[in-house]
Amino acid sequence: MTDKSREKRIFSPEEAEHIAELAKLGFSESELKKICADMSDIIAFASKLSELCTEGDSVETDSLSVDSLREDISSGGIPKDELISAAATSCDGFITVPRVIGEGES
Amino acid sequence: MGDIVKRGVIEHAEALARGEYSAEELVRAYLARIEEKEASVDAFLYVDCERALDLARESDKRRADGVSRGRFDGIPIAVKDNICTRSMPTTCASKMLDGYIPPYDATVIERLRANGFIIIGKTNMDEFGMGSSCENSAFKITKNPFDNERVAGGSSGGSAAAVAAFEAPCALGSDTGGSVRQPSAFCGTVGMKPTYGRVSRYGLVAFASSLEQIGVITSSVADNAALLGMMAGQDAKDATTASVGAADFESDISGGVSRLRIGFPRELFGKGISREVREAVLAAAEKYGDMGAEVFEVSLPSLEYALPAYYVISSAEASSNLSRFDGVRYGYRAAEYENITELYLRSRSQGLGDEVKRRIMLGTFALSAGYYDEYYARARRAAALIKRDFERVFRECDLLLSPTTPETAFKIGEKKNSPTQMYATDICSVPANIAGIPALSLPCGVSAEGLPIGMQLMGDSFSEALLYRAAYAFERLGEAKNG
Repeated sequence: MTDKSREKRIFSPEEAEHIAELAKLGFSESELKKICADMSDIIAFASKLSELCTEGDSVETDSLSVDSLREDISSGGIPKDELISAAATSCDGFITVPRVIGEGES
Repeated sequence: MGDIVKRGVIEHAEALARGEYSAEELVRAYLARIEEKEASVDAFLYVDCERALDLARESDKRRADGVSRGRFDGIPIAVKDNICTRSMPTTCASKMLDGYIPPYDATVIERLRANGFIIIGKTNMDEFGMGSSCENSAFKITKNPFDNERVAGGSSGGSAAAVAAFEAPCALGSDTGGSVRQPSAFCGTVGMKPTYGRVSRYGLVAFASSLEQIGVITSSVADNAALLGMMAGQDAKDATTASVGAADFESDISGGVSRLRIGFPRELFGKGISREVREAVLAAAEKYGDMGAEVFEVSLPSLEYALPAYYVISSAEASSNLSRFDGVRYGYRAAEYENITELYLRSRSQGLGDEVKRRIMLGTFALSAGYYDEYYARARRAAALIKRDFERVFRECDLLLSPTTPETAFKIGEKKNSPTQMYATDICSVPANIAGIPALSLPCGVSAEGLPIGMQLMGDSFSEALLYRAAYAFERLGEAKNG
């Protein structure tokens, strides 16, 4: 392990804003400060993993062994109106959301 | 009738069969107990009083008419609030799902109902299963029935506390990194996390799909075995369920532990484990030796990577799984938004709690360009090493014995402000989730402060029957000693 890898990685507000944008989350200025401090601690906690070499020996994947897949035959599902009723807003059997196409155009 | 709530599932089944009391009387007794204890324990988010009584009367009628659904017909059960129950709230203890009523039952719920079980209510938890203390619930903090100033554990803290406080004879939890076993250890109950693929996850609100299983919390080992046997088995709605045959965990339960090889992993008895917990579990190891088992130390060096690997993998999966909560199809929607992006962002920011946001941030970071290899790929590598270590060690021994938790139940608020301190409490439990193996927690002693101490038995995949057999042998020993 090099000295560099032992240094605590500081998670910057710019990084936090970028990740938050990817995750579709928003933070106030004070929340952002807290999340940066927490993320720096958590990343330090995860830095133990840096001891593991992933080169040379191909990374083993422990993918799930899917035991069996059923035949792709549709069977009685949940009635559409019951599913739609869970949405915040709907109209004529459709879930409604703000306009997506042409968003930003006046 | 006062003390019938202290009986277990099998005792109730026998009492109902001989007509000692009716299902309605039984449900009424638990509802009265809930009324009495909830002010101090806060185990439930929702209690289904009227319907539970209606179902109990229907159960009594079936029994009278000779068309009972089996020995457990009419017995109440509490269910963790991340398991979908038709016509009953399922909130995952999140503001995001406040008021959500699923239009379907999880497969485990269908199986319970088919056997006559009555869902008495939904229990508190850490929001979406993310936490070890129930302090991350958006609605309430569940208190430990042994000391109300301490946590009940998490994330299935409500389920364990409900069983420990005799508010229900049994409960369902889910276990992604110890969420059935850790609260069981803190509350003195028996908690089983089955082998990955043993129980259907259909209808379990997903947190980390490759790690989690629905598990059972009861006051005795035999009750636990009976319930798991009823719930286990392949399900066409969950392609990760295994095609192993019908699960009978009861017929061999009193087979004893003679000549069983039990290893105790050096890594789970070292730094960070309190003296009291270590001594209680080592004393249990000695008792196994006295009962004829061969007990010896083993080593799984890769366990030093288990915690960081777990938190990276589970958070990565959570960041993907929880992207479904966007304020569109179900759940909370922000009141004000100008466009679709604001709708997503504000609904998620207002609807999700701090710990959930932290995990989504960590998971998104670990999967993002430039960091994937450094964190996620290395975490998967660690997981592969851990699995390999378990495979090797299970060639040397039949079972592993360890503490379930490093310490007994901690004080409410003690670790709330340090995420990494909280994460460290999962050190003994996460390896079983990473390896997909079954693990059971059962009480093995009481601390000087009167708090339960839990020990963990881990076995190779699909060895639940063996775990129950070993746990039952130890439990019987306690009964013999106390009696």
